[in-house]
Amino acid sequence: MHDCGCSRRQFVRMTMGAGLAASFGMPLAFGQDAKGPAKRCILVFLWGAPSQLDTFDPKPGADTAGEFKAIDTAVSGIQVAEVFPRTAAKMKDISLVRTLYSRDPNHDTAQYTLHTGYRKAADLEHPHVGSIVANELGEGAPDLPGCVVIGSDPPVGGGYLPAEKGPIIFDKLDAPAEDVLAPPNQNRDRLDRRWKMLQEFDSTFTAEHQDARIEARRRAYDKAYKVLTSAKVKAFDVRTESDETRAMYGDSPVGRACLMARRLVESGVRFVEVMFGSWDTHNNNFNQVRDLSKQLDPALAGLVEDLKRKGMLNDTLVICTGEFGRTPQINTSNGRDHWTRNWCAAMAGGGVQGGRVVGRTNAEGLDIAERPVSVADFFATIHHLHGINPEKKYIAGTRPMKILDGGVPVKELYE
Amino acid sequence: MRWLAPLVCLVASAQDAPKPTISEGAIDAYFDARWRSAQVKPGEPADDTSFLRRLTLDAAGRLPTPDEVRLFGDDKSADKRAKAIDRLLASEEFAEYVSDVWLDALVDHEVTNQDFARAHFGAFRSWLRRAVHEDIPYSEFVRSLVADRGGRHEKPAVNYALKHLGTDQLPVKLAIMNARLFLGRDIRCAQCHDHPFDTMTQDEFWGFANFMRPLRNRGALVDIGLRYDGAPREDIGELFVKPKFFDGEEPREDEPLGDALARFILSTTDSLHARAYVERVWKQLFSRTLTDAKGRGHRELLDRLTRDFVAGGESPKKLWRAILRSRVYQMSSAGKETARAAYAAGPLKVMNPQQYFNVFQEVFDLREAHKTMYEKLYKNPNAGEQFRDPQVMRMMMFDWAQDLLFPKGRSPEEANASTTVRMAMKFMNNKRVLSMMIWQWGTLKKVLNRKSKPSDRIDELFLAMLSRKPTADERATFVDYIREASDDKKAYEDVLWVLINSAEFLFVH
Repeated sequence: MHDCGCSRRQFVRMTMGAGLAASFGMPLAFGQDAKGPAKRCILVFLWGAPSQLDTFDPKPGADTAGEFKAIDTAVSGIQVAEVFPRTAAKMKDISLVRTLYSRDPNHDTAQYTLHTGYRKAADLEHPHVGSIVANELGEGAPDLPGCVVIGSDPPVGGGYLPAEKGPIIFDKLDAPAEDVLAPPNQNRDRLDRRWKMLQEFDSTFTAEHQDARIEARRRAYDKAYKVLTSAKVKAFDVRTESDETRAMYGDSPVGRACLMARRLVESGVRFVEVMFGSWDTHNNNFNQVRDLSKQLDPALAGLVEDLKRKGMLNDTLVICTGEFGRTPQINTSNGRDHWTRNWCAAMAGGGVQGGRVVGRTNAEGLDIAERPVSVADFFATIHHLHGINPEKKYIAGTRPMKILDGGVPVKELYE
Repeated sequence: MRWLAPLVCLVASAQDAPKPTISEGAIDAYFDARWRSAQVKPGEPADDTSFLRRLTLDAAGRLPTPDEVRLFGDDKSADKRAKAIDRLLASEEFAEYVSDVWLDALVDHEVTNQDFARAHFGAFRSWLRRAVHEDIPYSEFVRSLVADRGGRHEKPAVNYALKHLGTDQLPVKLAIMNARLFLGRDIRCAQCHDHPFDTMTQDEFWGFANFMRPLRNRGALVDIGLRYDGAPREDIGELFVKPKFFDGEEPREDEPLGDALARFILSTTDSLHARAYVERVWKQLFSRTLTDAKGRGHRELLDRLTRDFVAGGESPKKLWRAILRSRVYQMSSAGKETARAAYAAGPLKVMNPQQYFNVFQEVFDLREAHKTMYEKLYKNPNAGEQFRDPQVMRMMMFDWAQDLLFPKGRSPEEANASTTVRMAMKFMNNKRVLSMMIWQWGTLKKVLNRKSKPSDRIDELFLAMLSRKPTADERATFVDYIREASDDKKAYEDVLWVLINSAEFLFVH
């Protein structure tokens, strides 16, 4: 219940009131361009927080084991829960961090932290990590967004970055491209005609009213038009992929979203997040996890396999995690509750060496036995792999803000 | 009608002294002096149609109809603006709109489906609407929200507190809300540590929050008596301190904690509850407050308005009237941002969610559309009795519109500042939004049915969407476009698309 945050709404008000919007989000110093093995990133975020035991840190034989068996993977000595057979087969390309920890058991604030590397603050909003990555690496395609979120509303937008640098969100996992692809009654000619008339019509009003909010809206419209009319907009259309490729990801909304993510990064989008959930399984944990995993397993394995096949895995970082873990103890509703002492992230590509496990939890999974990895360490790793200097500062309002405060990259993943 | 009882007492006691109102011209006099001393030239008054659009959006939450625009333009009387203000303030529409804005603030902009499902949430809305319509003194309004206990239906104001008692039944959220809404103070940081900017300590936070500690959500709002069970929760910074108001006052022995809290909130030296309310209304009308978080800015005017508001019996409508009649409110919004910040130009705002919803409800006629589709879907006039309740219907549609038109849980104001690319795409390109623009219930169809000449149709569309007639140039451009098009129906659709996506349409100016 830590409620020290201020909503985006208040934040916006504050910045507008102070008339600071224009100076927001400027980098304090221009460093050299980011150079790291990762040139782009796909984050599969499991909101609601999945159980670590029922995914990538099984505890066969323990009281806390639950209903799933552990299965061997392609790498000897690494086991995962039986509901991830396809991911298990790809373990040579995937590494696991089993000892992420935090102290925040609330979904909203924990999701905020897992998207920014920061705790929610009272007086400013930090940007989505994807917006930082896109901004630091530079937009890969000027007519596509730098950062795209598919599937749900993320807990943060562009934060203190300028409005148009924020992620573009497609919140419907089952129809993410609805806003982008040409609707039946508006072909390209018609859109262009309408756009031209709009520019002309708007010019009187916007000339008379000089205002940062009107300006921000105009820039957003310009960006939207650029995306809608880009030849690259086809990247949003997964129907053009072969049956074989689509089958690789599984016939599910999250599978199609992951395929769309691959198409987008291939076209130059720097960072794509696929939000998939809810994993908040206080009741009936095992049936729910079984259903969700049935969709997630092929989507994740298919994504890694497809990237590799296309020769993109080396410079595309893939991350899969949630905002925290779930209790090893099973509650009376056959569910698992919130747990922040340890949970997992699966990572692949972009400099991450496959087939490794970082950190170990004890026999019952009740505590970290070896190598804790803080959320800051986790973000330091993401930035390191992209060659981003986390010490670099942006101006947030009047305050210089580091990209990340503290944290040490987890070198066991990439060295 | 029990909630009206305290009002009677107050009116009786106030009869002895003549009741001052917010002095006519106080706001104008203040800004005249400011402009003079800063050598700023104030802007021109807004023209009639701009004024009517602004006023109707601000006081009724909707666009004026073409007929209203025409009538207002034809009215030659000198006091027509004052009359329009009074007419709106007395209307049910004002009560409905302003209470919906209140509702949004009281639930902290998080109306959920659960709220809709609770039938008594409707009682809360009705109570709010009546409070606004009957202009009950603001202090009584606050007292009910802070001190009422009982069932959701019998004591509708308790729905506010019930909304903020979480599953853990801790008073934190409610304390934060009470301080923000009724004292104008942001106390969040002090929950876990002494506030970095404010002078508040963690001790003071919990002293305040513990007034609300005995409250429980048992379907009704009940007071189980003050107890401290177990150990304080470290993770939320909890402190087991005695209820104590910020100024150090403690409740009397026999006094219910809710009554004590209301008494303290309503009797601060600076009338903080009234100041916060003046700022709230000012913000709603100008999109900025008179003073900033540190109290800097137009403090003198805030003091004056607060004093007059309290002396005048805390009548919200009097405050609204004074502001709406002021010159700064009625100035043209054209100009630079710096001019608006100095109140040398009129207000410019992004529509709030209520305005946004009402406007799109009109443009797309969502009410009629839903009714028709619903009846068709169920083919049974008795199916789903709940949807017959106009309030439930409205909430349901609001939820639906919110899902489609702006990001969940976020107002267009934020959307505009952060994720507008997505909004722009929806309005430019989403097939459902595009089809609503042209469906049988919408403004476009109505205009095409009503008028036949292209120039009349364009005029009428402008009146419906922008509350003004097109300029000669605009008319010529659009009429030519219609004439040259091979399919004039499609050409009108294009015109509507342009108007809907224009800045002039989306801003309150």
